[in-house]
Amino acid sequence: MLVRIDPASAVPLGDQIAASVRGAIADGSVRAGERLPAARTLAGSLGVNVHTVLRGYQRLKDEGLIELRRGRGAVVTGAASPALARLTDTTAGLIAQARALGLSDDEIVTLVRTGLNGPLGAG
Amino acid sequence: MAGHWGITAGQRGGEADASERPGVRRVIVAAAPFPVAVAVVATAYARLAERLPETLATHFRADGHADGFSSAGGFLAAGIGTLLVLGALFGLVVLLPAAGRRTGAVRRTREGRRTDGVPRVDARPAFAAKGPASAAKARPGSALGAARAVITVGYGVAGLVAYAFVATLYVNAAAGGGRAAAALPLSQLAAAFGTGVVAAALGWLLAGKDTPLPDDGSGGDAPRLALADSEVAGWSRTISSPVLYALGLVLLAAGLVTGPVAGWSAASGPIVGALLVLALAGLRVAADRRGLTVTPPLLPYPRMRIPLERIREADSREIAALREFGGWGYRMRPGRSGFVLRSGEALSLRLVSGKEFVVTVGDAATAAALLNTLVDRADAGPKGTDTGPKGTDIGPKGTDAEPEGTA
Repeated sequence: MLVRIDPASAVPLGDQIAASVRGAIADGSVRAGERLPAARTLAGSLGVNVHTVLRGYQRLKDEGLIELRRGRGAVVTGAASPALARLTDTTAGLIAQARALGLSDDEIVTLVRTGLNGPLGAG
Repeated sequence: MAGHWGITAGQRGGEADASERPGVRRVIVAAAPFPVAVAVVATAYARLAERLPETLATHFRADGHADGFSSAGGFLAAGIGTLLVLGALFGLVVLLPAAGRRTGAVRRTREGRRTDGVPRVDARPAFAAKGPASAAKARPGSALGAARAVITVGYGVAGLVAYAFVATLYVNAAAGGGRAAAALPLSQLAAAFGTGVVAAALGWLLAGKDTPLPDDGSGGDAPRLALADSEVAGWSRTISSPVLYALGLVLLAAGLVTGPVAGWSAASGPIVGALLVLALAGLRVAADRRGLTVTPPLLPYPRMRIPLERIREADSREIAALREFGGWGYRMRPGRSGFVLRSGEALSLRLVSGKEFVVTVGDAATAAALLNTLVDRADAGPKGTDTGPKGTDIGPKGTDAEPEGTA
């Protein structure tokens, strides 16, 4: 699994780490059941703080892509299919795009809910 | 005159043989101490035969008193058998890689890859002029360089085993037939190890110097990973060998079962073996700004790290575990070493020293590309370009994040 981060970027490092792992799941180079490197190991590897990595891992856990277990480290969940990882990525893109347009969080949720109730942009 | 010619022809024949089968001399050297040890043990037995009792004390407790016995003939047979089997094993270990090495060397020489990003047309004269460091100096015939370490260990083992057997025979003879009176003090064990060390030193001398692998001077054409100047990247992957896990567990079970029955000193062999095998059954391989790191999957230690400064170039290649490395685990061969847990895709590092380090791991191409990029960056760093300072900036940034994280 390749993790790349750009300290010069405006995106928080934890999110960049999460994005790298998500990308690895999406392209199939990391599979369900596989163990991610320990936060301390990855932090040493990238020269960032352990908490930065843990923030990234926490984010992936919230997305349902990995499980964090004491002593077992971070394991990619069975539900974490490449398709799910791609969807999460797409969602991140949607949010970024909406925020760039100046939409509030509520407006973004409304937009998605509208889409759920009836196809968007079809008519 | 005729005799003279005969000798010359013989020498020439020997040379031709050596260039075609470079392993022969080494194999003979490797196996030689074992027949010698057999002869020593047999001679000692013949000299002492009259004074030896029917049943010998053959196993001793730490305090030197005997606690195991066997028949004199059986003991002699066991001693000779052990030495002969060891001799065959060590000879074979030195012989096996010879075949793989030779073909590897020939293939490498034929590929004749270029060096340091110099265009191919200029590469030949350029790297010929660069001297021994990058010239393909090893002749294919001498490719078998060094099973020196194996031979050294072989001599040590032969010396140790032979001493142990001879000493056992002597203490039995000295006890004058009272087998229970025979005692082997611990000092004899120390002497046995001493003999082993002396024999090992002899083996080391006899084995001669290892010939390094031909340096193919490759460089520049290996894959690179596009990385922005400010970007930091790390690659890691775990590998495991089901075969080694199974073997380790079987050994462990054997040790734990025999422990209560046969005594823990007897069981310590399989248990230690099991731990060694299990320690190598799974590995985490990481490539990052610090170089290549190999550790157990869950623990940070023991750790093997090859810093970027020692890496000339990385690549991925297919490995045949048995043919090239003579087995599985942490393997050392003339001019190459590494962790070989299976055959197939492996990360191959060409080190600055000209040697090769391998780890059998999937997605090796990504790791190789990343390492090549990082090596380029490290090479450019000391010259005061922009990558150096930026690389060091990352550390402070990481520590800056600490208060924020703990708060």
